[in-house]
Amino acid sequence: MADFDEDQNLQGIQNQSKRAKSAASNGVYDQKSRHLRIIDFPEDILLCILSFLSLRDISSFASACKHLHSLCRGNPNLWFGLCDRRWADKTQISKWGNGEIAYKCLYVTLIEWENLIGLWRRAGWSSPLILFEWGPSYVTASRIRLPNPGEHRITKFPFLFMGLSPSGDPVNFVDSGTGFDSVPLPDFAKAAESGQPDSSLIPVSVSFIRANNILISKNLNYPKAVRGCSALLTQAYRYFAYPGRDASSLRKKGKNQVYWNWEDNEYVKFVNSSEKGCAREHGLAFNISKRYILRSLLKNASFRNP
Amino acid sequence: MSESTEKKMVRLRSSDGEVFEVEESVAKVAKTLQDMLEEDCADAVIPITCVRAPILTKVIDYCKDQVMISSSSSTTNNPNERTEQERKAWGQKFMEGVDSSTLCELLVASNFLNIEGLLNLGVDKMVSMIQGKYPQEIRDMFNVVNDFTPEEEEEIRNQNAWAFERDPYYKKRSSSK
Repeated sequence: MADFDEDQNLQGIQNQSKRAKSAASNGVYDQKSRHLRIIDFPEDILLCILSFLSLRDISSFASACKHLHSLCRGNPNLWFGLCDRRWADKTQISKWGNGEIAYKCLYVTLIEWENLIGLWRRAGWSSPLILFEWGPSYVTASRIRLPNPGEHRITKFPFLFMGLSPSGDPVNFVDSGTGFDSVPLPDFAKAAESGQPDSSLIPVSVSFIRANNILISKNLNYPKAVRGCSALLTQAYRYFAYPGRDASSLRKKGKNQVYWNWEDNEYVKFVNSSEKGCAREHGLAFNISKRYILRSLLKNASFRNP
Repeated sequence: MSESTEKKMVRLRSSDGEVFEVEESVAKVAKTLQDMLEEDCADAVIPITCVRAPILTKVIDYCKDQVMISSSSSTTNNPNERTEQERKAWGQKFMEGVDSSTLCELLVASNFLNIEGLLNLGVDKMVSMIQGKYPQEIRDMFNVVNDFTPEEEEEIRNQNAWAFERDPYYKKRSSSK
């Protein structure tokens, strides 16, 4: 210890800053000052920091200098990091779009779709309740059927499926065949005209009207936009919606079944209301898995439009 | 046996030549040092070439605390949540008043020494410093030299427009600047 520290010991603690300056010439630090420059950071630390930031912040960061710009621009690791940080524990990010889409595309899509996750109700109605959840490579919405008296089972009917085609386009379907709470009106003419590969699946678009309002409307552009690349996703959906049943038998059956046409519906989210002060709705959303509480809450709940 | 290993001291030398003597258990919080110690070079002074003395002091403070926490949590009955909260509070306090250049050095040091907890603390702090800042503010904060020409900067602002598309406040903020 003594052999190299003797000098400094004599001069005492006050000289610490002087020593710091002498260290500045060893290459790690900026030549002009003792600052360590952020651009000297190992790339993995920088990417780790960036993965916590929003796009706006990343853009500001990238605009600071050429080095940071080249690091952020078109760096697939950055987009993977962003997706991985946010959704790795919720969905299988490598499976979306059949694993063929860029992570940037996935990020831009999911940053919007993640707002869907949770419990929604039809605008102006207390029912149906729908629950958006993460699937392995899609977001799905299910109608929630509450238990009848004496039953304890909440039943979920998946009816909406949102995925990405390998080319990165959103592919959203509503299954018209599983509506349990609306009496389906036969509309053969429209089903025949629509020219879908399978008339039980209606392509829809899910759009945010406001932060907590969505409109699920029929997507009239569908056949042009995504026909042909949806077969796999359709199958995946069927597998999910009807576990254990053969997809081909469903398709056959589909031709003779009675379907109702999808009406444009607006849904309102049950917001996490610890901030907004409507604890009852919050409780409802929170306890969706706890059947008894849900049941009793629904009996007493008066739903309001926010 | 365990007592003798606990009292074993390790000497660390910072890049500017200051030597720190710490308990082996404290040094072993850093995975890099742990590996070195297990390869049996404990008698010599370990040079930490890229870490200055003030930073190394801070790192050692962190390691000492980790050792203290791990020894106290093994004696408490139900440490899980409480320890978690305490750690959070402690981490915030630890990072309080750390300026950007110290933070940069801490990050590099914890990366080099492979101390995951400290790295996470540093990244959290860094993220909170970058959030909501303009490019110029980031340059000032991290001592980055703007090497863009004004034309290039304008072009980049246009290129990066996608990042602002979903932010209704961006236009307002940039025009007010």
